Amino acid sequence: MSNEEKQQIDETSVTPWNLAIYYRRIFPSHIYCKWLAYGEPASSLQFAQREFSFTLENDVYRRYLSFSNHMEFEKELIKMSPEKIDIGAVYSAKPKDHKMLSTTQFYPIERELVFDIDMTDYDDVRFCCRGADICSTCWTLMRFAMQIIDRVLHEDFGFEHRLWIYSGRRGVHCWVCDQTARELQSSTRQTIVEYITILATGKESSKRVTLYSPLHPSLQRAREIILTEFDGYACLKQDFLGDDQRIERFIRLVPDDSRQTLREIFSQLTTSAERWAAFKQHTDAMINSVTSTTKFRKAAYTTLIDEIMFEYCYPRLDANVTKGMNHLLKSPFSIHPKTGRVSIPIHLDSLGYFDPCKEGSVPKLNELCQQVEQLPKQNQQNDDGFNEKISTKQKDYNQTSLKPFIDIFARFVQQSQTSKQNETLAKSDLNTMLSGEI
Amino acid sequence: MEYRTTRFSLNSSSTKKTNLNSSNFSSLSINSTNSSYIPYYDTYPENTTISLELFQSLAIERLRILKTIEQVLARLNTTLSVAPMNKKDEIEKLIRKELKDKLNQLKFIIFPSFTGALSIDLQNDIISHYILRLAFCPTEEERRWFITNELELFRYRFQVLTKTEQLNYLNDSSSNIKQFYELVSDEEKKHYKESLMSSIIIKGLTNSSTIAKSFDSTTYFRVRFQHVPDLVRKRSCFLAHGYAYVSDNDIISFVLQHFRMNISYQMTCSSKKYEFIQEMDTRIELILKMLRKKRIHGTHTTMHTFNENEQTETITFDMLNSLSKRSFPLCMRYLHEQMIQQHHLKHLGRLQYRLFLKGIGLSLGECMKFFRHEFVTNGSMNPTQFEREHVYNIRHAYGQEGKHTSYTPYSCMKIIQDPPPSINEYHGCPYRHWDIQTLKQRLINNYDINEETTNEIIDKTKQHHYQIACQIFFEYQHKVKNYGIGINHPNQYFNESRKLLTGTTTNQNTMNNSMTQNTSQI
Ligand SMILES: [Zn+2]
Repeated sequence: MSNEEKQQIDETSVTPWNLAIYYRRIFPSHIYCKWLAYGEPASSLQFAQREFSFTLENDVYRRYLSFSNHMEFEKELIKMSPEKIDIGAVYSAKPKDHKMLSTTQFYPIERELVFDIDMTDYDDVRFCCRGADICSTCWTLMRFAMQIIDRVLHEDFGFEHRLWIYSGRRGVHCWVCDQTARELQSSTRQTIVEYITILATGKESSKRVTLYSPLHPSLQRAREIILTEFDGYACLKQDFLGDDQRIERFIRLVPDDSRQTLREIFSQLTTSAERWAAFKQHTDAMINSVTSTTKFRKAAYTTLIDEIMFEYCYPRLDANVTKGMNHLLKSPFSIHPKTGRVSIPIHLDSLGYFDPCKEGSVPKLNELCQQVEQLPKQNQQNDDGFNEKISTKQKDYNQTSLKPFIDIFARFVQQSQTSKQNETLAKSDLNTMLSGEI
Repeated sequence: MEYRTTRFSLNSSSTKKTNLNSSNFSSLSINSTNSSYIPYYDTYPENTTISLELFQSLAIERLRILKTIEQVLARLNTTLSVAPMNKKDEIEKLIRKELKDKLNQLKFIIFPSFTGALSIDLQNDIISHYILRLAFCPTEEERRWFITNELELFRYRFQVLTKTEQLNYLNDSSSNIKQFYELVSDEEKKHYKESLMSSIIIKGLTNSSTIAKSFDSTTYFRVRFQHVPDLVRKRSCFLAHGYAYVSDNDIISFVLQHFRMNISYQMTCSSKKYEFIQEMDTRIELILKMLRKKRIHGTHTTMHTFNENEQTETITFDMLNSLSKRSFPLCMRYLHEQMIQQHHLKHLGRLQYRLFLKGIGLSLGECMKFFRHEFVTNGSMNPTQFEREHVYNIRHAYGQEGKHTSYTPYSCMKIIQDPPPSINEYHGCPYRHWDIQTLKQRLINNYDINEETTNEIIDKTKQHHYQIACQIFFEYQHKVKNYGIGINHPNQYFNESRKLLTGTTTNQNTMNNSMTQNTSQI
């Protein structure tokens, strides 16, 4: 093993020892449980019928865990010290009893509306890295996705309580926690996914975005968000027209009758910026030309520039995660087993700035453990996890680099509880209609 | 035979008590010159006394209407929701032609101008609807069928209305529909002008001056986004803060969704009360049973949908490879190929394919052999995992486990409407779910379809005529022209193919006339 590899393992190391410290002294259990109780009492069914899933050592995967109350949750969490925590739906009965129940007795009744955006879905439009790797350049795509989807959820669908989470590795999640969102049926979740999705499923090499003029207001807004950075991102950072291979990838998105012309134009230019400018000029010329092109031909060019920008930058969703109510999703404040990074909340105001590739932007398990171990001894009176006082624990994580993220989370949880009353009113008119489905 | 008069009293709705005696109808806002009034069907007819004879004939007439609509749409391979304007006229004409001289009490439903809608007509309309609702509420498949076709009937009737009549429908104080929308004020309309105008979906060429002109005279409705899912999905309405802004041209989406949710919700409730009603009156139960039979009988034998009893060949799993090339529709052929290549299929693919195999007559034992052969022998699954995860499910599909229900193979409608395949999933309808480029390439490269036929298929696919596309594939594969069966079930495709290839073909004339025969039967 090379030194470099060794060092990397040290940095990311997720050991049972570290995990035990993390869950005992750092993990914000009480806020976390308050979140999932949504204003109900600590021992409510809302919490007790929630599915959790723990990944233990050696990839032992335990689904359908559930806990009667917060105390039990915390106790088991410390005892099992999972490498990864996933959250599922709230079921009609306690998930731990699911084996004794039939499908008419055990079914999901509530689930946050969740979104999962993963960088690997963008592999055909990023040239900086592939697969699980990310860098500040391609992270721009995640920033586009977060800003675009967040505004859709808020402005179009009216959802107030949106929790954005960095997954710990190469993507982001969004948890929409409004009561109306949690009660949506699977078919409505699919409707929302389809509203957001513009990339047709199919081969990566073919053109997958088709737009109509004028753009729908939601897409106009997305376009504005992309435009703020497109030139800097695509031309400079990605250099998306920088070599023949990239040019050919681009050319496939263009109507047949312009491909040869564009190849010739591009060959006389050197930078991506010049080529992009020349392409836009060519497209405008095609739209305005009165002679050669027929009306139908022209239509192919009116939305072409936008289509290409969207092809390269518009959010790509894992639809199945959003559609299925019983789909599991990695929990906030879970550790990423491969990177040792904590899944942290991203403040709504910084969706456009957050960058996990910037040094020190995401707390790592071993750093956090070092930080609490350096604390003065008196904070650790009772080593027995059972008798540990919450106040001690609060003090502990307040002195780690996780504090700002726990603050974001705590504020989010508080806000999502206070508006509970208003929501109950708003939803009463819906109750009758939303209950039926084929 | 003499029927005693029976009281048609279904006291299932406890909250609303509306008497549907003829006298009560006068309280509804019926304009007697407005011949095309559509009831909301949101209150049960209670304390209505009709003869058993009328009960039966009303039910049969309505079933005839629904089945005719189903058949006309199947024959044209479309639904009213996707049919373009010119086709809608054709559909209307066909429905009327088929039902001419075949209706008595419910004539006004299809021929609104024939007679003004009298209160007795409306009563018959409502009662017949509720009888069928009762007849088709026990199983999910029956509910789905009933709701789908009632929706199409509703759409037919709503489209016949003038704009003013449509607004009257929305404005009727006797319905709860008013709680679910608000009219958009002129002020708000002005405020959102740009957004509203750019939400009108016009594919292809746009004439902005036409849009601007019509905008001023358009009425907008504000509804919860959940209530217009088909508009939201296509991004063809403007959304703000959870509300959709729907123009009077699109309002049918909202009205239909309201209608659909109302009846599907109520039917789920009535299915739970069904057993209770069963005990109430055996004569009614007999009629309901007869109605369920008529629905299936009609569709299965004369419309050439899938008929389980049509199977004559004994099929073993080693025959599947060659059968799949010669007689499977593309959806199943593709699933088979993936199964052979990957030695695995994901959940939805397994469901779709397994039930199809059951439908073509592959026995439980052979089906088990086939899955074990692919998953375990050729694939990488260990035998215990197979036992644990798959044996039960396969037996279940054959009705040998669980509730011992025998599951019916999926119809085209179900396959088309179910969730589309995502990455590494291979179920679904190729014409509906593959993108055009992929479909084209595979047809030419993998399935040896010539370019002309491929283009024909692609054309139909683009116009959303997936089942016609499938039929063209069938005709090419079997070297027949204008075979005219109207594919609506993968197993029907298979059965037709076997008939052609093994020589037990039925007379073509019978097939083409099946519609007429069928309707006169019920
Ligand atoms: Zn990168």
